[in-house]
Amino acid sequence: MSEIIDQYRVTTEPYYLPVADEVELYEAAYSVRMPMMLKGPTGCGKTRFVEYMAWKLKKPLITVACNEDMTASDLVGRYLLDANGTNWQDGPLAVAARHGAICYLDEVVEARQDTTVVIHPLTDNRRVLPLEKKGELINAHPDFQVVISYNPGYQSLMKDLKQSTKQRFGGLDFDYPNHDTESEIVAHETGVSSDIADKLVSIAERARNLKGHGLDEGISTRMLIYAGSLIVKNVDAHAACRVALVRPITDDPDMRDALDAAVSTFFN
Amino acid sequence: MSISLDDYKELLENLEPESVALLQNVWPEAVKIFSPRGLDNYLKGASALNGLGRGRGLVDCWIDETPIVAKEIGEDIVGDLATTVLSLSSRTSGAVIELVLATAPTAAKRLGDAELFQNYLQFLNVLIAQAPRGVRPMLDKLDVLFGQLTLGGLRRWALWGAHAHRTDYEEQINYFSLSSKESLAVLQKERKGTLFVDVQRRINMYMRALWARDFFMKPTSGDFENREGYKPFIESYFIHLPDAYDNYGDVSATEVYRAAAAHTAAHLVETKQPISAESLNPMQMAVISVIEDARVEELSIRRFPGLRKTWASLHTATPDMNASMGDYLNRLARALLDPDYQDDDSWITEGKMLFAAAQDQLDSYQISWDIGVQLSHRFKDKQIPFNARTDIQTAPYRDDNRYFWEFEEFDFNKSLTAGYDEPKQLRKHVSVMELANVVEVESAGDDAQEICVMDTEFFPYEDMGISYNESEGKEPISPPYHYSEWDYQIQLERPDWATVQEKRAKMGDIQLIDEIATQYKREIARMKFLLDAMQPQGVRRIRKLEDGDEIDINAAIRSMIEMRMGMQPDPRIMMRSVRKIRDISVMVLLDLSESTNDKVAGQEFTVLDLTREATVLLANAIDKVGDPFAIHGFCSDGRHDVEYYRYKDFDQPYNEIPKAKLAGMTGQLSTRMGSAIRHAAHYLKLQKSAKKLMLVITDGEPADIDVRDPQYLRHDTKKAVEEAARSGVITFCMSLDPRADQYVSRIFGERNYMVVDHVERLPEKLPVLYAGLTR
Repeated sequence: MSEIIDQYRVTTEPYYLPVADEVELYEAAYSVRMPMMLKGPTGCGKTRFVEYMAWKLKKPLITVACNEDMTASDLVGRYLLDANGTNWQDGPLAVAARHGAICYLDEVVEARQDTTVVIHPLTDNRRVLPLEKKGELINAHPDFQVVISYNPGYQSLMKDLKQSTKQRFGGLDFDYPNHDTESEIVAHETGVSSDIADKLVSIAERARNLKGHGLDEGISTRMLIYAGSLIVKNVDAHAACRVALVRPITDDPDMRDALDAAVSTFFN
Repeated sequence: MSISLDDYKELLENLEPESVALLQNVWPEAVKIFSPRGLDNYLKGASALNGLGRGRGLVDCWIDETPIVAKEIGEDIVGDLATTVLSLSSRTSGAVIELVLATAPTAAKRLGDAELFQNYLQFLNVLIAQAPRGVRPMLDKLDVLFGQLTLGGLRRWALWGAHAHRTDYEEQINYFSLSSKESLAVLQKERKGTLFVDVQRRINMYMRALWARDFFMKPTSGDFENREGYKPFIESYFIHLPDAYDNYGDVSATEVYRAAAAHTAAHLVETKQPISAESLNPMQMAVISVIEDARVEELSIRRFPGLRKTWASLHTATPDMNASMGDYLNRLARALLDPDYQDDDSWITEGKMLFAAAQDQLDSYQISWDIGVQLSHRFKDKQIPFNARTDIQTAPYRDDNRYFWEFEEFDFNKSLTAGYDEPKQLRKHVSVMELANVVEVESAGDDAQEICVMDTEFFPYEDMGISYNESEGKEPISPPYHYSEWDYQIQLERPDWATVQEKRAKMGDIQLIDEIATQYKREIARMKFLLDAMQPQGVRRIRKLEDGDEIDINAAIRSMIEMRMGMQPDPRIMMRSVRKIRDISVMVLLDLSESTNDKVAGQEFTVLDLTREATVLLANAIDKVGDPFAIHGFCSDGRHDVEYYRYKDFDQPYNEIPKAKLAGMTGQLSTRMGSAIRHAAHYLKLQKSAKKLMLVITDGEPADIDVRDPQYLRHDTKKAVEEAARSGVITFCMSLDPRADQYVSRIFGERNYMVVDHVERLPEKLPVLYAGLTR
């Protein structure tokens, strides 16, 4: 049984630079097994944070990327056919609850509301997961915890969590780190010089200024790391920024020009 | 080494004797400020200005003001100042130049930087070209303007006015002298500090959360003359808060707002009995005010302990402030509020003791009255005179207590209804009998208090086949809707710039619509299959899945049989239930400008005919699929009159009435698209659907009679589309203008447009487009 869960263990320390007191808060929340909700724009380090915390707490981490077509069975499990008939296959949530892992539901608003409610009995004092098709009630392992992430700015008009879901979680706000921290992260992750990392972060800040003025979302730290990785491979800085920063976030020719110009003001 | 004025004799030769005298007066100061080179520039400037022959005032002004400017931001600027002033001389009067010089020290003080000052000079240069009449009134108000605006803000404010009133000199003067409404509105927008409007919602929620009731708040504008209005006050049951606060030391402006709102709310909540100012002198009233403030605050702090910190951080009085009674009042106020504040003054200690002794009687204002009277009596020992005008509390959040003294006339019932407007007009939907029985008020007009509405036509008794509506009715006028417009040149929204007027669409012959259906029978038949497939079908089972939600028992048994027979089983034994629902609202927005009356090239029918046909087919299609949809149209006649027609609304069935309205559709005037899109988006936003689609059908680019710059309305439309997108409305444009590629993608975005090359094919294309977009 333990092999199933061992594959989910985080063995090497993921690089994570704390921005504020989020590590301590999370540790405290985990100690009482409070379900956590991480909010913040895409690519600002939510997933990395969970990996880091799983490593720090030495707990396995099961990540589920949520999407619109995901159903409750995809989380809980289902019967599959094999040579002897059908057999039950635990879904990721059931595995986590059975073996005591941190279950991380990424972009949880993407899942439909009838899917999200299956986590309800696991996220209050009951801490159970009923498998109705199998007729089993899993009592969650003491180490089990649910973490969800979502991006409140993104399509929030149409998709939102139900109040009953929201109120089962403690919330941590994430945002892009401040200039120096972010440059340090970019430099560390990619190996570019701190000078180039600094410039990349400055470009991202220009783009973040345009959020709501033609851009839906600013340039994320993740994109900067992509750009930095290209630069390390001796790609010209202009080209790297074009490929990794500007082209992915906009189709608007004016916006593209503006961002290309912003790149040129930092790399000449 | 001393520099004597006499060394520069040759430069001074032409000056008037009075100017020379003035120069001699300022000389000692000037020598301290300027280097020899600077002095040279200074005097050369004076000489050059004299050479302009615009009178002595100009020269004197230069002599007087330049040293102050140089003192503020360095002498290097003197050359620039002289050049600017000289270049202005060919374009404006001596008086204006004089004013430029006279206000230069103000600008220098506020800007505090040579480079900024240079920018300011450039800005003046531009402004004199654009709004020559506006410069003088603006310079008159420069102090006020700089008191509230950054240079950027000033620039935007001024250029806005210059653009808005380019030809209307009178308005220009009004605008720049800050006496027109728009001027103040734009100024408000550009003002620094935190604006009340920005935090009002936050403060409202805060107050509602604390006291579980609503308080009505209004911004009060700082009056420029006497700064009254910068203090909060309560009047006619409204809390008036300043329209902008700057940060107060380390305390953020929002926090100041919070403190002020909480303090005024404390007054409203804790003052329960009327109070009388009878037989009190102003000094007693001032002291009572301080105690009363402390009393209501103490009571609020008992409920919300954190308020003490909020308020205490805004008190700055210290024990060494003892010049006036005002100082003592401030110290007393602080001592009563802030337990950490140490003040050994006997009067203040007495106040503290009295207040502490009264801790269990704070429910009544009477205690404030008693302590106040006693303390003000004791204050006479200090031999400090009281001045009611200057000896006031300085903590920025404290109101002027006028509420407290006017409380006698306070009406609790009114206070609870304050802010809730009573409906001005009651509309009743009635039956025929009820309508026949009501007594009509002959003299009532459109503003009648009560109006009866009947769903059907009402005919008079002596029925001649003419209803009341036909004989006496008139077309209802909708209230105007104001929308901002984006001016790309000044990068600023022009507040409430365009006015949308809704007009009632005229009915046409419904026969026309039926003919269209007959004419396009073939296309409709072809569409039928497509549309049937789009209709929502409720829950559907998808079988033969490897990873469904449930086991499909038939498939499972089949697989088991195959297994027992030693055959390869089919692993797809699961099924899944999928709910097929459609959740989209569609708004069709038609451009009804004059150009739609043009004949389609080589054809007998007009663009409008074609648009109507296309709309009818589309409406049939959407109606069949069952999505909620609306059909609206617009045209415009300048920014004051954007006409908007509603042919079909979302909640209206697609029956004879919308069809007749569509038949009566006409094309006229111009295309101010941005405002129309904003108005249409306003209707779409009210829809509850998850997806909202706006289809704009137009035959040309945005244009209007009062706009000459073709870019202006394009940029505005783009902005309107972006705003709509932010509230979840997807805008798609179908353009009949074959040259539209150049601009339409810029306005609506790379993917959200379609240019119809063969206009004749529009009627068949439109429903297909709808089907494609919403599938």
